[in-house]
Amino acid sequence: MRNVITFVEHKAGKTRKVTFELATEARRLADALGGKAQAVVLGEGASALAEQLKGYPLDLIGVSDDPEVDRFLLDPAIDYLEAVAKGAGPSVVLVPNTLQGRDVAGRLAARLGAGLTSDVTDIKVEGGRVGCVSPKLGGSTITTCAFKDAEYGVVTVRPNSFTAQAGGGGAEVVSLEKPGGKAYLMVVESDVEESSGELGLEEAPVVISGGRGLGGPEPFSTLLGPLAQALGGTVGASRAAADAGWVPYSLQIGQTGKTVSPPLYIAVGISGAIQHKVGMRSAGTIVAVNKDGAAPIADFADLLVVGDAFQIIPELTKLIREAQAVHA
Amino acid sequence: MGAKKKSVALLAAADLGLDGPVGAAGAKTELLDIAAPPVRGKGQVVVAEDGPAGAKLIFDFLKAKKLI
Ligand SMILES: Cc1cc2nc3c(=O)[nH]c(=O)nc-3n(C[C@H](O)[C@H](O)[C@H](O)COP(=O)(O)OP(=O)(O)OC[C@H]3O[C@@H](n4cnc5c(N)ncnc54)[C@H](O)[C@@H]3O)c2cc1C
Repeated sequence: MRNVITFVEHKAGKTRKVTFELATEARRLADALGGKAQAVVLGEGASALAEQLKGYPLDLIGVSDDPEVDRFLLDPAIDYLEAVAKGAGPSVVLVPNTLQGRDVAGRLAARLGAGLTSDVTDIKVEGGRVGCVSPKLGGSTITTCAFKDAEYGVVTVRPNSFTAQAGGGGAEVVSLEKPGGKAYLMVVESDVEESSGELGLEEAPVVISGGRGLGGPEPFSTLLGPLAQALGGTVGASRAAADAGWVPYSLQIGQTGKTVSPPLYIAVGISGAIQHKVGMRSAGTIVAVNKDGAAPIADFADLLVVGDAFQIIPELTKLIREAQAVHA
Repeated sequence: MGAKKKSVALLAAADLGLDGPVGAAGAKTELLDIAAPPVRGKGQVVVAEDGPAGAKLIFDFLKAKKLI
């Protein structure tokens, strides 16, 4: 494996941060393997997004505005990717570990007879071998897997695992030829979006989560909302809060919810049960606010402030706002 | 337990028409390492006198870590 191909997930040209994280990592990997880094952007808005990707250190950006990519479920995208990979020769394909990304990865791996590693948080190249690090069993075990006897390897990468770094530039944009002789059957009739806050939960740089200690639905918007906004983050929740119907399940973090690894996680009125911990323990820094200094979260938070969230959080939001006003 | 009485048919790979290597030998990836995650050590636990004091603790902590 020498070359690195990254699949760009987007909607009408609008993409997420993970795209740029993967573009940056593709460069590093390609350099380590002595190959080329290439991105593949497909469907409506692809050309515009390719322009944006030029700001990242890629060698090639393969583009097709083919409307069939959006009209039919996944298959056209897989056909394009397969053609690009076969054209590039032995390569590693990076895909975001998202709902769509996982679907793309499995199908593409089957087409290419490739090895597949999933939910990868780090990639190491040693002696030309690609080793993928991924947390398993709710993060209680970390495995490193290498591809063997395969020309292709497909990797789904957990968002927020790599740092996006613009620069380099000078990527050549090439129009991808439509793979011929294909008939597609599954038409996308409608596409329902999660509300914007939820969309970003796995990618947000800051997650402010609330638990049973908040006592009801309102504090999620009146207490946590403003803090999240001030920090450029988003709101999450414990299962107790979701079970109580205070927030939708899409906000739940933990074993039976989402797994997040933001640089900063703030847990408010959350005790830190193991089932919650497994969804957020890979966060960069964990801050907790809890009335109880002996809550389990004390054992793994970098800072636990013992006190009443209703007194502390509004003051914290105020302090941050004031500091921002000074710098503005 | 009805399940206990059911007979279990044992098939070899060849019975399924698989002639390539199967199991670990046929896998396209191999496990290089398996480890426990880095331990998150116990951090600071600080009791806040009141709301503003608690807020200041967090604010200073985030600032020192360059998170704000
Ligand atoms: C199979 C299974 C799967 C599960 N999956 C998940 C999962 O995915 N995610 C998840 O989160 N849980 C999950 N759970 C549930 C988990 O075990 C806990 O019950 C849950 O996480 C508790 O949520 P909590 O911390 O909000 O509530 P609690 O444990 O009740 O904690 C509330 C905390 O708020 C504090 N508090 C109260 N008032 C205030 C105040 N005014 N200011 C500050 N602090 C205050 C209290 O001291 C307490 O520590 C699962 C459980 C099982 C059995």
